[in-house]
Amino acid sequence: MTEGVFAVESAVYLSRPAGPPVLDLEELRQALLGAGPEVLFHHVQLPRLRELDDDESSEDDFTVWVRGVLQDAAIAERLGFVVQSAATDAAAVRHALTTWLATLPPAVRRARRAPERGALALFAAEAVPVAVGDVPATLDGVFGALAGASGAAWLHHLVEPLWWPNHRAWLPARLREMGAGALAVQCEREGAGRRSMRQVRRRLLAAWRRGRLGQRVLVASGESEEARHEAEHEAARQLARRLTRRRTS
Amino acid sequence: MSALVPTPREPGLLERYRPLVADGALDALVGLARSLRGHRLVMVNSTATGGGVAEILRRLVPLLEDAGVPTRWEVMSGDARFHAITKRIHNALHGAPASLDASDWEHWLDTNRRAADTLELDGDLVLVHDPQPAALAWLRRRPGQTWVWRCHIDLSAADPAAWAALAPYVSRHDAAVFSHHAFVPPLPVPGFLVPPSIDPLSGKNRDMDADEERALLAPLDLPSALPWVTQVSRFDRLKDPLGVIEAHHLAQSRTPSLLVLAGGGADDDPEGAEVLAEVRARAEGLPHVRVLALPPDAHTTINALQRRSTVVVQKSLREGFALTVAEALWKRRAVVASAVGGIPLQVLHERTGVLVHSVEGCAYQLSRLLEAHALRQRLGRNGREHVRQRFLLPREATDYLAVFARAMALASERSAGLTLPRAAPAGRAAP
Repeated sequence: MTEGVFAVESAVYLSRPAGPPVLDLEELRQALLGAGPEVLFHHVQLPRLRELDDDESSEDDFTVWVRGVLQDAAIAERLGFVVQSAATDAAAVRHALTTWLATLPPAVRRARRAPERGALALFAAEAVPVAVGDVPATLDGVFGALAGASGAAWLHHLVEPLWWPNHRAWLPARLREMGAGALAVQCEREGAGRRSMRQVRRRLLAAWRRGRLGQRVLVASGESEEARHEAEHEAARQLARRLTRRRTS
Repeated sequence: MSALVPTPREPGLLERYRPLVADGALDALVGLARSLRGHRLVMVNSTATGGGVAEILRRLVPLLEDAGVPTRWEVMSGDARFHAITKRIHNALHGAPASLDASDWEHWLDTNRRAADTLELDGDLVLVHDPQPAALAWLRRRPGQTWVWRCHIDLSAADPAAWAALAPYVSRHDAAVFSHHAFVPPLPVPGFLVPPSIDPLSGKNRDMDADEERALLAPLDLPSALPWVTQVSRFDRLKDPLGVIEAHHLAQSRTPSLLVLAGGGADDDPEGAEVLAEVRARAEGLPHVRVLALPPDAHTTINALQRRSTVVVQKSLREGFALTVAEALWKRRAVVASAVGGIPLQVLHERTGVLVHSVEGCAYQLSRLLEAHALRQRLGRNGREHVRQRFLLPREATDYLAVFARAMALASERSAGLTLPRAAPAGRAAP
């Protein structure tokens, strides 16, 4: 595996008001037509940082608002599907949402109006990158650092780059440089998905650990029988320790 | 005239928060502090004791220091007239009719001028709290400094004349920070949202064991046979204490409970004393209602009351942010609260608590929660997690540093000619 360097960062996401509040679906359509990637990121991606105990996937703010405030369950589920299908980048989300909303008859778009206190307030996310810890030089170092990092760090490395091209902190690009192509593909898939960052972290760390185990077995296969036995025993010991830790936690 | 507020260093303070905050949360604070190495932060407000801002600064300054950002806290002061004027400005910005004339604003500005001469504002990052010192940025700004105005007030219904007088001074800052999007007025400088926070290590929120809880509650002599429903807030009509009694009365026939209305001392607040008397009169003869007027420093008693309660209510008619809700959620309490002000940011309906809009709705949800142990547990668990992630002090400290980092970046862009310079406050010559 080629060794590379990767600065593990986190981010603080500041919120700024972004335009007048939205009261119905037509106003939502018009607001989205002019919404920048910062606004779409705030309402589609930041919900993935909400990590309540019973929350495994995260819904975008637009869907939650239509269901909870406009109280139109049918529109909400279709809107949620549109976001889920297109949430790979800001332009795709904007296009998908505005196109789908335009297919609704104008009367439907105006049919339900939120009470003033239930208006959808639009925000722009401003990411302030934060260097955390050292710069690990190996794949294990990168994942070791990310294992203890916040959900914001994962969002910064996996999702922000989809929204802002040429982002310097794109984890999949670094993984490819390090020869971990399969892990890079899984990172891309998780970044473009809708799972909460807690779920994403859990899944990717599990994939990395599985890869480490496979790597050790591969290395050991070229060793003497005694060394292979020792490697097998060490792997079994580590697995037992992990299972014990999981049970006690 | 002015004073540095001594805030003793508390080595290791940051680490005391680590087991309480979200994973990686302190890393962001420490990382930002590291990136701001070499900068010095000055907090400016108008009181060292009493009030929510002083309470926040007393904890925030040592935390920032321990994170590695040299921070000092300067308090501007003024004469009795200045305080009377700023009280009226405060009320006007909250939406009360204003009676401020040109001489009032001149006196406010003169006091700021004297503070500008005497306060030590030599830090390169200056965080100005609320309207009292808001002219300092215009009067004392030096090249290379970054000034941010922190507004703790609900400006959603601000008196237009009062805001028009203040806005030019606020505009002399590099950025402004508000607690809620509805409080953000039109401004030519970037406005950021930073919700307030609670301190999990303070007497009001720290963990306590059952023995300590019992000992603190014993002097109150409250019956323990029934589940407790509690509202903690000052005696103010906007907190709707009579509405809470009414809702509790409606729920009583179905689910008996003890209602505890607990509030701070009202001796220095004529209206508070009046409302307390009304509440006591209404509670007269109701065996399951207790009204407690607690001293202002009864933080641990309030902590114990909230922990002992089965349901915590906040049935306000209007709110700024209502951190009493975050306090209850932090203690894993089931919360019934009005959907006003900053409460819906804390109570996510049916996930971290329940939101209500009427006396009947409050009664319905009280009965429902008192009968549903598993639901209370789920809401309590989620509420604790929600507060852990969003409403604890280290997050607020992190956000302020991030705002400064962002404001400095925007200033660099401005100086590179990417944006237009701002105008001087209208009607006044630049100093």
